[in-house]
Amino acid sequence: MGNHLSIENVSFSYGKNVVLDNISFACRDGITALLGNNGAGKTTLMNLLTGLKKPSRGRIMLNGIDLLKTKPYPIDQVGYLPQTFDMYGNVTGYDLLSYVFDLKKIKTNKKETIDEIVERFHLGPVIHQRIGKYSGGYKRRLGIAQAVIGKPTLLIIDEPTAGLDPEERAQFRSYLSEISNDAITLISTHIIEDVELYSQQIIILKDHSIAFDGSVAEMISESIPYIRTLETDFSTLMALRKKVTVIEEKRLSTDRYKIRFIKNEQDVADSYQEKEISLENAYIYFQNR
Amino acid sequence: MNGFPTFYIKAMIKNPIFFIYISFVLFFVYFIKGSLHITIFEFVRLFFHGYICSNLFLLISTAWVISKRYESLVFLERDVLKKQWKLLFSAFIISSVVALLPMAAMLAFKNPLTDGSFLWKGLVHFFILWTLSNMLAATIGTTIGILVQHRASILLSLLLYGYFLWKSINTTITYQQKLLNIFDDYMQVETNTMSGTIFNLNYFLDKLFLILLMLFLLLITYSVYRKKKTAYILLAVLALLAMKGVVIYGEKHVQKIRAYPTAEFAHVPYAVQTYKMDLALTNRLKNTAELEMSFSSAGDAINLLLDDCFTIDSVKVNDSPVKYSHKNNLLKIDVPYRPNETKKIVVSYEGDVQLEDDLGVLTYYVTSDAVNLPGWLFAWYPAMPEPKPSYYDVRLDASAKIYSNLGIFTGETERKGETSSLSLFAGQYQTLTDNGVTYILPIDAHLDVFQSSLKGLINQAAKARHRTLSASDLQSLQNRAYKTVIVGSWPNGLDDEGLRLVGDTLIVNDSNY
Repeated sequence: MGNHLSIENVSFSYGKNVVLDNISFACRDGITALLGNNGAGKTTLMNLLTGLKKPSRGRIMLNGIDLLKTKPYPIDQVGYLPQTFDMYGNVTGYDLLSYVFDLKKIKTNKKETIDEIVERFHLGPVIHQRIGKYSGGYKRRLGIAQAVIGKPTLLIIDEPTAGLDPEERAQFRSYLSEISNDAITLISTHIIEDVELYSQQIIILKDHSIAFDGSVAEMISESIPYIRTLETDFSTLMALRKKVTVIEEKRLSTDRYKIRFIKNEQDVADSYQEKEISLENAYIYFQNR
Repeated sequence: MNGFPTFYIKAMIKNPIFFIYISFVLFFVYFIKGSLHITIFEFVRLFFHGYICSNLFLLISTAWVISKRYESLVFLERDVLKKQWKLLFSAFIISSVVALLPMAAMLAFKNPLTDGSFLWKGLVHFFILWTLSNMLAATIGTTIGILVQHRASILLSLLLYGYFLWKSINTTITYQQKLLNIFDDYMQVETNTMSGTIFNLNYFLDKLFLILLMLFLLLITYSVYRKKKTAYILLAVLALLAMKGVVIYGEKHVQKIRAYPTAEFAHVPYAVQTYKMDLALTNRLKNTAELEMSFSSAGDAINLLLDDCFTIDSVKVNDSPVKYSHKNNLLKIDVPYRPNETKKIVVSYEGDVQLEDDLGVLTYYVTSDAVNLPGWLFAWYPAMPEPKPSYYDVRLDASAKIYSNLGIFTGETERKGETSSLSLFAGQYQTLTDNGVTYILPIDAHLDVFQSSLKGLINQAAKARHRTLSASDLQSLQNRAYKTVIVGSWPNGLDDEGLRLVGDTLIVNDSNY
């Protein structure tokens, strides 16, 4: 059966400034990536999902329960990892996990639950050290560990791999894949590469509304017809920049460039449609169409 | 364990400042542990550096912890006011545990003559001062931390705490000043050793004032973070009004030592022949005094001194109730008398005895374990100024051992004898004997030092141009013609050499020797 989250006609404004305008989407277990440029409303949507802000209208249903009307907010069912996960530097990771266990009022055996989480996220070597001594990677792992403790049905993760080195990012992606098997995992990110690797659903926010809601494959296939490729020289490239939105440039030789751009009404001579484009190309297309 | 703030206790104590704090507390304990040989109360009074050190630690650590707004904790904890309560609870636990260090020192190094009840009183008094000042510091820290949500909250908290610190160490002693003092009210004024701290109405009002102050600060945060802002603002105003109420109520109920009206007693044609008293001393004084009075000429009313702190239940003359008035420490009994007549006058009265001198120091008092009633100065029974010797028959019921110029009262005792006034004392005393003289001295006194001081006082009195001691009394003192010496306490500015010979009992003022 799995878990089900639906955001229904949610709007949010700061006074007259509309941040989210009638947003609706649904997601199930697995990773849903939330993409959008700065100011698109991603953080606000995260704050609404975590119950830290109240929408001006609409509702958020998690497995049939209205998250915003549930008092107190069900922190045992929702895990949250903010973009900058930080903590009092003088407490240990174990102290934190123990406190989160208490806050979530988890019914299982405390020591066993924490030990299992520690093992799962390979926190063993540092768990009894002060958090202030943790590397960025360990801190991020501890962040995800505190979010997933108690096995929440909804995980909200903001920029999960920001600031991690490539090896740590790969490790973190595998954690996310694992935990999303039986939890709705909503990730806000700027790193398109990550999205391509683990997301089963992508939602693009643009101008306070949803610009796209679908899979990676659907996003690419929808974009392909509107993205053209051209090999040209520098002077033509400069002229083209004034006419179309160039989304990728690759220098082939001293005066030869291979470019990709978003097609407009007028086609550009010698340009062609490629069979494959990157997710980043598709994302830029959705942001600019 | 759910509910127990382990996480925040660790966040507060797992840092070098905590170890510096503990080191300072231990240092101050070591530095003033000598004062424990005087009394526990002296230690509690002098330990204010320790309180300040503890207050500062809790102030800074709570302000720092609460001003940090980590997103993941904001999500999990939801309610910043609950977090404030968790921090206050953490501060209370840390404060209570650290309090064990000075309390252990108090037990280990206390004056061996300290009586059990005074030991408990000292420990409780210390714990109350320590806890309340620490909780006030933590309340200031958390309140400013919540409102400012920035590291600057530490500085602002220090400024607000600094105000109370300044008020606490200021030497001006007004009632309001005492209330704003977050430590021992007698930090600047030395009190007598015998009484210890007295848990009276003023003591509780003093602590209530601090609790209301904390409540006021908490209500300010509630008015900012809760929906019903107006209601919380109103409650905060009510807390402020209650604080003002404590000041007004307390000031009204403070009993001050007042000069007695002696003019009314010039050439009175009567004297008290015998006193028969049925006296009970608990936390108040209750007495039925039967006076047999003789009269040398006729008159319409009998004047007797009786302090205003007492309420008279009845006055009977020859077993019949009579009209009387009692104001300005004067009991006026409207009854005519004739020459050579004797009358039996029975006065039943009771009251709390907690009289302060001009410096606000409790001077005349009656509690279950401490009593200071110098009879020739304080009209605790109907008497006349500078009375002639009368015969006393006193039945006294008290839980403490009472020392008097008629002997020692223990439990329910009856004592009889002739004397010019009856003085009663109890508290932290020791009894020593030397050359047939019984010395009833404060527990910190050393007999040889006391004797040397006493000799100096007598010599000083002999040389004084104006003295209150009569020539015969002075001669008796110089000849050591006294059998008992008791140290009592009375205001220092009475120009009386600090000595009073009542029969064969010498009473010495604690502040003079």
